[in-house]
Amino acid sequence: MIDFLRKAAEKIGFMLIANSLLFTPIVASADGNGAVGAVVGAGLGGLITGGVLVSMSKTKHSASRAEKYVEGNLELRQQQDVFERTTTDRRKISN
Amino acid sequence: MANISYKCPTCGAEIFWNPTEGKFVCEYCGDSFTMADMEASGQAAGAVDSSNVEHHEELMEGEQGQVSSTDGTVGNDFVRYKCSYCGSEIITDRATAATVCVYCGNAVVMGEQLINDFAPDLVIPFKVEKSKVMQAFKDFSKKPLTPKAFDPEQVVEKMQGVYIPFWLYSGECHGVMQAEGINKKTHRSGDYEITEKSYYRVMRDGRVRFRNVPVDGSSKTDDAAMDSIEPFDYGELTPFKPAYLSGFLAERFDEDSEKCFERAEKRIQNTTLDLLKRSAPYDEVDVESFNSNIKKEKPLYAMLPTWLLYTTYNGTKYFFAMNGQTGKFIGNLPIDKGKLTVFSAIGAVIGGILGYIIMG
Repeated sequence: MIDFLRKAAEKIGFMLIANSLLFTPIVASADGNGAVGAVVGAGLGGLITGGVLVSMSKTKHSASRAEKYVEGNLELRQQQDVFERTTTDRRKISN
Repeated sequence: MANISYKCPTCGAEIFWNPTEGKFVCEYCGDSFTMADMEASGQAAGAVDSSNVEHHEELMEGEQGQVSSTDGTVGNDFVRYKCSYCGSEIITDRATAATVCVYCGNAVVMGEQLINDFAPDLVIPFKVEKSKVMQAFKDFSKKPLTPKAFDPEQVVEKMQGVYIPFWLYSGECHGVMQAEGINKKTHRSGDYEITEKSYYRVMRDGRVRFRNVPVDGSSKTDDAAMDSIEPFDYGELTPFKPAYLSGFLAERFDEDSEKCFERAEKRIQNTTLDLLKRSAPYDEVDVESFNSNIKKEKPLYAMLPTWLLYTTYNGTKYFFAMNGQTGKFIGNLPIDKGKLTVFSAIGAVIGGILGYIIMG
């Protein structure tokens, strides 16, 4: 599993670097949101298309859950919920 | 007694289990027989007579590593049996419990692999026959990235029906979770977005019962593949009789129930934690600690039906498996990198156009 995640991270990393190398100059020279949208959209479109197609060819996965084999429901013996604090964040909305 | 094989009560020819009919069918005279019919004819008795089984022969010194199996089983620890029908030599993996003689086609069940500690409790008989498996594999192979040169017709013949040994674990998991629960509310006030987060100290102590969590007990079988062909319909579990193995390959376990329990334990713990988290009504639950204790019952040993295919394409080994009861097919197909590049480029162009329209 760790191997798989490492390899996936490497591949995604390379793709992102390649995408950045190719498109950063275009973004830098772009004079509108449309060009930025096109560059970001192209990167995402390529990654999503490739990812979906690869996942269609790879259907073997280790199981990490056993929910199909649960008999009945969770039987709660004890539970506690104690309020601790509230925090507030204010973020200025850019126009 | 020789290795076990089954004969047609009508004509005496070799007889096999037919997955579609759920009966024994004689290919020569066409008669079919239920398990009860076979028992009435003095065959297919419940258990193997442990005092009267044929034992394997060890290979000669130097043969190990030099020979390959005659029945297509994979492994590197082979032994020799004799076909009870034609007397030919069968070289097979040490853990093989049933096979087919490559010379005469006789189904051979190795009684010594099904006695004492190796006697299975339960079996799910095959329901999917080979012709359907072949069609299913052809359909399964038709993926956008599959290379044109990968021809399912050429490899599908190697697909073998194999009973895989599984341990089925039942019991109860008691888990205690300590966590921080967070509820988040966001609203707008003038030019500001205000986010309020309320924090709670959460504790859950609960029990979950599990029934028949399966883990394969074969070291040679790909664990992830066996996980992926789940679930089996346990409503069709039936007391084990060696006759069900007739005409298929079968392995006995070579990893015991204690060793295999580690895999079931992780799955049971993860699911117990999931259920405890879901019982806490917060937007986020950050688990700080989780302790669990599983009380397990005596595991059951079951033979479950699979269709397996080992093949090589461009020097890389591929493995495909099908659930022999439900027909669920899994495996990692080879990927044509050229096609991947072209499709990704098309996706990139479409994404680029959409991005330009949306942001422009």
